[in-house]
Amino acid sequence: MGFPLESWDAAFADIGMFVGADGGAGWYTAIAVVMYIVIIVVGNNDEQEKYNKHK
Amino acid sequence: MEEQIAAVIAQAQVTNTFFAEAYYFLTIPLMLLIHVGFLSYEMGATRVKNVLSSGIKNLLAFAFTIVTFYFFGWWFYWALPTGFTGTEGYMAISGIAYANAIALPWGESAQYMGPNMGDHASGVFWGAFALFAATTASIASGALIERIQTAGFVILAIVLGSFAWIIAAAWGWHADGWLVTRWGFHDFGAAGCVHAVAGFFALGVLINLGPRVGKFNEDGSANHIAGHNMMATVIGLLLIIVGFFGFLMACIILPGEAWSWYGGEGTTIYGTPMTLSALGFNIVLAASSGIIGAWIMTKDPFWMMSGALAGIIAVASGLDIYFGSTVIIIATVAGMIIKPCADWLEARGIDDAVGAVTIHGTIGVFGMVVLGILASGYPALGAFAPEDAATISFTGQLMSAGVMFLMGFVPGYVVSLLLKSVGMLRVPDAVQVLGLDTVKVPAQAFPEGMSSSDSEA
Repeated sequence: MGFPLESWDAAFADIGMFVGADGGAGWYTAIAVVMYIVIIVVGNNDEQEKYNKHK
Repeated sequence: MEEQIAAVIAQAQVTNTFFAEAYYFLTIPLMLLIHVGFLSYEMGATRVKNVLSSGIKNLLAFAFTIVTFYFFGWWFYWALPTGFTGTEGYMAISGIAYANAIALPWGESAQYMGPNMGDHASGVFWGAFALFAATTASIASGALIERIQTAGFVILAIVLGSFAWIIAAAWGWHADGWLVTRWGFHDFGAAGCVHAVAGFFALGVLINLGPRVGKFNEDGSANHIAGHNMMATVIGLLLIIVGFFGFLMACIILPGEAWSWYGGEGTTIYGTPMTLSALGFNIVLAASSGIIGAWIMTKDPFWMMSGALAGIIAVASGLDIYFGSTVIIIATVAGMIIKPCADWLEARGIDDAVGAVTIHGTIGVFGMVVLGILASGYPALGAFAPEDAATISFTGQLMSAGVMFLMGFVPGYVVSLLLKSVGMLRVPDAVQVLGLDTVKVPAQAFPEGMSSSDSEA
């Protein structure tokens, strides 16, 4: 964490500034992917429970 | 003086860059109107007892497709134009190495998948394509209403929106795509990679999903299951037409940028010349003619608005090069044939609740093939192409249409079969009779009163 650039001018040059520009972008992606797999699994389990009440 | 000229040129370039960025950015909210339309259209076509479940399904198709298109869908488009081998194409803007460099949200590629002061194009291109992807997923959604499980549907939407259509687009909607370079395939408005793929994906799913409870009688005859709000459906379809303007204007490659084909003229994604002005003629003529064709055959407002959609899809492949009167003829015929085609499918036990297989699948194929007849011999790629590059042809369009059919039908059928085997595809019949909203939605569509006559809720 912490601002990775050394000057305000650098924020307008090349890539510029964004959270993850210092190389951490991949970690954010990995966390997001795991989150979404969990969401689909939890969502499906929740749905099946509702259907099972009517079988 | 030279310095002043250089300064003016530099400033003009900045203006051009920001215009191009704004142009593609604004296609995104326009395309979101397609989803406003889908939401209204599908919820209107659903019975009261299932209204919110249809809405939720629609919203999730959009949402999950967008997110997964960011994770991996965009990568497929750039990696696979030459085929599953992922080799680099003639224009050197394709292949696995290229896709790894620009289309992955991690590593060195991440700079092109987020804010970047040196990049005024990647995000807006990605955004436009992501909306194309979400549109594709939503097309299949309507056919499956009132009996598909939500989580299972989300998985199908991800497969369609971030895998099947985008690979078809890599092959047929990319200057390095093998359908284009080898067979001269031309499909300006994505009748193939969006509409045909989505329509036949829905068909593959419908075969495994089965019909709604009460749709067919024991003798095979079909009952019409009316939606609860025809007004919402018809208005929704017209909103989809509005959103189509955003979709089709996003199909143009603007001039004057590093990523443009030419400095001074707009082109299709294949680098062949075209103008936005051509779309000004052809989109409205197509929609209007489709409405009229469907009116003369059905007198039904649902089919008339579906005719508008079918009219545009029927000419989408050649929207860049068709003459206005040609558009009128093709789109009118498309409007006339959608109801007979839908009836043909229903007679074979397929319960397509909104005619999506016909309007998008059948008409998508019709449109691709008609272009092969009318534009045979026209160049498929721009002036940069090798001299022996394939041109548009009837056989090229026909074979490519076959590929689009398979790219939709096979994943739709296989994935839905897998979901069915693990009990994630079809809502139990008892729940269908009771109503999906009662069972799984913690809200009511009409809390002050409005219920399905056939609900036990």
